[in-house]
Amino acid sequence: MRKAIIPFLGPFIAAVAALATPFSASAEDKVLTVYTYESFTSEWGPGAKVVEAFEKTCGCKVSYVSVADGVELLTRLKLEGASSKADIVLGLDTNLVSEAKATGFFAPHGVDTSAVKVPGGFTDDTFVPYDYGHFAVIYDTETMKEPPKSLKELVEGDPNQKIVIEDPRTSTPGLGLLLWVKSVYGDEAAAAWGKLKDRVLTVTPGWSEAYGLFTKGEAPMVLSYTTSPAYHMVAEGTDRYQAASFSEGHYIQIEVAGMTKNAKDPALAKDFLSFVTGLEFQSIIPTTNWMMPVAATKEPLPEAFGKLVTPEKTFLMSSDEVAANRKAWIGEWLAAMSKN
Amino acid sequence: MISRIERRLTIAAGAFCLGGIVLFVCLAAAALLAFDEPGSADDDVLFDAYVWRVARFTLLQASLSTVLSILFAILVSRALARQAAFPGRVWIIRLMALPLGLPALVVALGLIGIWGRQGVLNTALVAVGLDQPVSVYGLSGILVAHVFFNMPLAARLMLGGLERIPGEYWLVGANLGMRPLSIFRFIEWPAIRGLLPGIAGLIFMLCATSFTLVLTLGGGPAASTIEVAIYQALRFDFDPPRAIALSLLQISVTAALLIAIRLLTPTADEGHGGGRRVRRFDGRRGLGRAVDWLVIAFAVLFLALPLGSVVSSGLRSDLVRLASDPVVQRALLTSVVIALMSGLLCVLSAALMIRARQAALSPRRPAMVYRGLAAGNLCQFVAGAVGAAGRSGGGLVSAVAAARRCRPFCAAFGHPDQHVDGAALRLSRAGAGNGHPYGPNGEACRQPRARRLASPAADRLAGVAQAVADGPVVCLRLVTRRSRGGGAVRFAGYGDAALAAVQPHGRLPLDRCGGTGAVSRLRLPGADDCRHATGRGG
Repeated sequence: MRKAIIPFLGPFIAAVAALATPFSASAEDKVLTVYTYESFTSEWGPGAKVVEAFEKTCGCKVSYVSVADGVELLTRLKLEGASSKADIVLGLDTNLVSEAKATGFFAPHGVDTSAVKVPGGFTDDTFVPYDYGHFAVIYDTETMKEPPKSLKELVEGDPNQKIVIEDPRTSTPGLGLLLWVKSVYGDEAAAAWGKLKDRVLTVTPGWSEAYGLFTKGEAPMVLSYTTSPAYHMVAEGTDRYQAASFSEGHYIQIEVAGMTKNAKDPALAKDFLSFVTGLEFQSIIPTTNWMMPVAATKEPLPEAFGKLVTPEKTFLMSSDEVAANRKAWIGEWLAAMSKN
Repeated sequence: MISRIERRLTIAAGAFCLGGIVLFVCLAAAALLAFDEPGSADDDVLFDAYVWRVARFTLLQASLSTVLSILFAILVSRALARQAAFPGRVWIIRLMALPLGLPALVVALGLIGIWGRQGVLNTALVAVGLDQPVSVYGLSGILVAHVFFNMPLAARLMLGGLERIPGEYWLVGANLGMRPLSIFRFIEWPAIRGLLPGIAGLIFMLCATSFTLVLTLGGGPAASTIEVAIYQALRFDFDPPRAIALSLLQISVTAALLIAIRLLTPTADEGHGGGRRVRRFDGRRGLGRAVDWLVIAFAVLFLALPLGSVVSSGLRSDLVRLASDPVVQRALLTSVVIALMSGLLCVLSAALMIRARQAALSPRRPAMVYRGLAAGNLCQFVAGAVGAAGRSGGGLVSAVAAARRCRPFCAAFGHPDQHVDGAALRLSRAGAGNGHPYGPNGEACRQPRARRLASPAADRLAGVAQAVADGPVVCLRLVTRRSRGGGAVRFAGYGDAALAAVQPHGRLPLDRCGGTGAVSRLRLPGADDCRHATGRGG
């Protein structure tokens, strides 16, 4: 995040990347260029397995172009405009859908998504959901014996039991919490933030900083996802960190993929979009992207996923509503959080 | 002397580099401006209140961070300069190069390992029976982090400055029996003062553009810098014109401050010595030494504890497996290649710009001096404010800042025939005891001070100025004056050697010393060619 100003150099990086990417793919005739975020293509992410599985069936070559995260994907597309090489954009979340559509770069997918099941029932003619997660407060069972059972309890609880949250100006989880509080409290949201403020140890620019502080023991709670404990159970063999189930319900983040209007081979792009909702892709997602699958998987999910909190109620605002109000709500949040 | 053509080429090369940097920044800005995104006009009210608050906080935290870093760095660099034999001194200086090379998040977690709620400090406080934890989140945390990052940088630059003080100064200082305060005032401070505008400007820029540390340790959105607003404008809002407006605001705040620093601190001359091996004579025993050791120990703890905390969490996370992981190795290779290439590029362009500045500084065209200065500053704050590619930008800035200090000694040394090799003054006084009858460095010339120092013994001064080694001679004139019940001894040296040594930075013009009272010329051993240096009064 120290390199926050890098978007400033966006055009240059874009130019360099655009020059560099086609070379790796020139061997095959059919190339599918997928724009996505870095954690998807990292060695630990689902990227490599996804390529392997798709290339078996498509007789093509998949080439990734990755940027820091979903929000930057959209920025990148806006910067590149019509000259973008992207056939597929994978990794936007539902909050960005209306802004992404407004750019006019995306084409309707025409894929049958009847098998896709997302809590809250998101469907869209341009974007296909491929995984989801609920935001949740993760707590440390060693230092917190009685976690909050609702957002109300979180807001009104003991101010000495701190929580680390992310900044809605700079991060997706931060924006998620903002929308969550707005969904639950409505017009009272500012007052709720005014109370919650005393429990907030600090507001970090991104998820990594917040989670780092949390696992270092600085605060017994952090804003993350319901799936975070699964990572600790599967990868680290500990169930020390658990998600707190909130009675009001949880806000959801749904990740989506879409094809661009200037996709070189629209049929191939469409194949990829139906592939991401299919068995192969969905089976890769849970233990590589640490999100919930939106459709059937080959094998049942690992045992750890069964222990996760499954929210009874899901909050999801329409992306139009988010796009229209985000600035005002962030202003409200700033005012409430900056008061002394 | 360089030829006219060489000079022009040098200047052209520097101008080319500067132009390249400016072009690079401007092209990026222009590309962003070309995006005509609607929607920046409707939230102007929010923009104003918010942006001004953020700008105010940026200014506040960056100024405080700069002042604290510099004060701490003065203490540390002075202690290190005095204690040349401090055990592990070289390693301490190397340790000080480390913080700037670390990612902000790693440093934040390291600092929290020490200063955080569960950190070493609070654990210790709880163990002693205090239960209220010291909270690092807020302005204090930001300051601790910024001092951690920047104090070592400043201290290293200042230490370089202190170590460039010619050995003659220390000889004379010791022979005059200067007290630590006087040494600081007349020898060390002038050397540091000359470096301050560069160092302060650099640190201010690094702190003003700080982002992760400010948010993570700031405790809430009340602690936001302009950098956060820029990031926000480009990220969720995708509003390039606003981002550029904010960047311009940031650049002008920084530029205003740099100009202010430049105006407030006159540039001091570098000292010019004969290149003798530098040996200091102060701080060798007693209180001075103890204080120095304490300062160094504190600085080492301040730096090493958070680093240790980083290392210990690193060791816990299966370092061996990580190190043998091909992904990590590939990443390491990429880092090394990028770092080497950008480092090379930075040093090269900085060197070219400095050479160009020097060429432009030549006495024939004094106006260029100021243009050169302006150019140097410009690239400093542009590079800093735009933070071009993070670390490499910082590298360029440090390289420029560091190298700008290294003006060749000859630049201001106007009399090449008056070398100061080995010239040292040894003044001894019959019955010399404690006390400093001559006052430090010409200070004794001032009447009040002279009266205070007066002692009859001073009149029996057996002044021996000794030209150590074989350098040209120092001519010494002792002036004895009786006034109001006491005698004061004044001395004045003729020739740049004594001048440079006694009056390191021309603080007291020679003329104010000479001219009155009885003059006793001392014949110095081997001072036959005294004429050589006695321009006047001889």
